This record gives sequence, structure tokens and C-alpha cells, in this order.
Amino acid sequence: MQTANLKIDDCWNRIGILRTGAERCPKLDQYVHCRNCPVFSKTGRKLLRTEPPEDYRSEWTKILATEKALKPFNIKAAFVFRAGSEWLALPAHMIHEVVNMGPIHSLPNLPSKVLRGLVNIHGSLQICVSIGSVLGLEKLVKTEVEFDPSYVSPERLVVVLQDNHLVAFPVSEVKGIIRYTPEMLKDPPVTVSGSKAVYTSGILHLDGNDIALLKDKPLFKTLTKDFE
Amino acid sequence: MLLLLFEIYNGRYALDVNQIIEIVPLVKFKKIPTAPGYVAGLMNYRGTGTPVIDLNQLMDSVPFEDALSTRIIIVNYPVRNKGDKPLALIANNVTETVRTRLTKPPPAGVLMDKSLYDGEITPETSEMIQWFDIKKMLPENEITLLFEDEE
Repeated sequence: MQTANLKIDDCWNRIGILRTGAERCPKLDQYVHCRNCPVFSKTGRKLLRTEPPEDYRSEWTKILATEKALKPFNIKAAFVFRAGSEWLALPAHMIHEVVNMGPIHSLPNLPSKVLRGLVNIHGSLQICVSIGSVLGLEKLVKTEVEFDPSYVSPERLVVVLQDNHLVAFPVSEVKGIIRYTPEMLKDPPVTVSGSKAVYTSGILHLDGNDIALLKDKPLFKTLTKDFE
Repeated sequence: MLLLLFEIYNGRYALDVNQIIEIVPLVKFKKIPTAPGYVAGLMNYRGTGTPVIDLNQLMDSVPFEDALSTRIIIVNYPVRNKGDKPLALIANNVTETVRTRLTKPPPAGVLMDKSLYDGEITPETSEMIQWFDIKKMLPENEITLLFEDEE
């Protein structure tokens, strides 16, 4: 079939939605827009019955001779934050909310260092725990600096949903959500030992930072075991 | 069942998409000198030499349309003792798929346009659509020979 033989009635320009005249296609009542109309799609398909352009076949011969570039699949999302000097990550699906840092109301007779106290999240009291105490992270000692009114602390409260309970913990900084594939996850170095190694499922190397992806279930089990 | 609709010369055919690996545009083929006329040649499909069957030549002894809508359907072809191998089929007007309520091939091997569309869309024609059975409609013995040279 030749291009010259093709007779295309561009009814969408004539009486369809792109019409300039007064005549209106009666099918518009049923299909509302020409793109829903079988006449439109049939004409579109007819346009493909034209001769392919020059080089079309040789170009596709080259493309098909190479392996198909597969898009990365099995992409997972992790929520990245900083606690002290360590960059850490948790599976993004468990993050309920990130709120501005507020006062942590301590409780008398605290059973452990893990439980920091209670925080006010949208008017309800939630338990606030310390991730750093479980992982054995050192607190960065704040150096005495001159008071700078323009300084905004990057500290945030992260609220996670764990076993239908909300638990909050303070972080030094929130980076955001990153996406990774399981291949990007490296084993933690053997030099990492103790509780940090127990709760780390892998290391992600991103933008020059080593981010430890935490095992959410064992970590929060430990964090919440004292007040279940 | 999702069906691919295509044409071979004047007939319309439907193929179950589960048998399809990929639909690709026409490419250049390497002729096989002693092969029957309907074997258009070999194409380099993702690094493997894949036999190309010209369905127009096979069914009606006419060449395929040189058009953008003429495409190559790469199917999983069960080769005896060798498992599924990719096989390339050239068909005209490979432009449409339909979702049907069919769960198995129609008894007579023929579908009516009406039964395809389930009454949701008015069929364009009242033509019959032939069920394309890659096992029955392709000459199995000769195609098996095309895969013979492979180790």
C-alpha cells in the first residue's frame, strides 16, 4: 500500500473537537472526545500502513541485534537520616511522619536509656525512643558557638508505625527517601561489631556517604521491649 | 485472554499474547539459500540468529506489505527436544490487541468479530477471525530443521 493511496478523512478537524465550523459530529454526544471514538483510532492505525522511512529497517536491525537494556527492577525505597555522625536508613514504608523537633517530656523512674520520654505529636502523646542508645552511637558534642538567630536546627522527630503503634525518635538530620536495588546493598564491613552489626542489614554507598540500612523488625523489638 | 490481532494477506488472525515474547519492527534478514520460500531468512534477535517466517508467503504465497504496520512477532516456539525457542513471524497490520473473556481457543478455531468485542465496542466488520495456532499452522518439521544447526 502506498502513501498516495491513503485517503484520510480528518473528521476530527472538520466536525470533531478541533472543528472551526458550526457542524458538529453526532458521535461526540456518545464519545465526548475524538480520542474515544473508533473512527479516530481506526484512522490512526491506517496511517501505519505507509511505507517505512529510509534507514528504518537498518536502524532497527542494529537495535535488535543488541541485548535489551532492562530497566532496574525490584527497586526498594529507604528513608535516610543522620543520628549523631552516622547516616542510617530504614525501609521507607514504615515511616509514618517526620515532624519538627519538640520538647521530649521525660518520665520519672525511666527503666532504660532507650526510652527518652513522651512527645506531643498532633496533640497525642507518643513514646519517644533513642535509636543511638541501642546502636551504641556516640552523641556529637555540640561545640559552643555564638548564637546565630538565622540558624535552623535540622533536628527532626521521626514517627514510625511499628506493629500498629506509633513510636517517635529524634534524629539529627533527615536526608529523605532514596531508591536502591538489592544489588546496591553491600555487606557491612567486618570491622563493624557489636550492636551496630546486629541491626545492620547492609551498607548503601550513596553520594560519598556510607548509609547503614537497619533491620527494622529486630531494632524496634529491642527499642520497645521494655514498655510493651 | 488478551489477543493480538493481525492480518495475513486478506485474512484476520488472533494470537494469544502469552505465546509472544516481543513485537518488533521489520528488520533486515540474512537469506538462507536452501530454505523454503516462506523463510525470509535469519534475523539477529538480541544476539541469536532467529529464523524468520513470512506468514504471507506461507499462507497465500504473496510477499508481506512493506509498511510500518507490518511487524515481526517473536513467539516462543516449542522445538522438539529443544524446548521453547524464539521464532520470528512477519504479519501485516500488527496494530491491535483485544481483551476477551475467552479462556481457551474457540472450538472451531474461528472467532466472530462480535464475540471478540463483547458488545462493548461495535465491531468494525463482521469478518471471521481465525485463531492462530502456532503448533498447527506452521510446518513443524521444516521449522524444526531451521533450529537443527544450533548446538
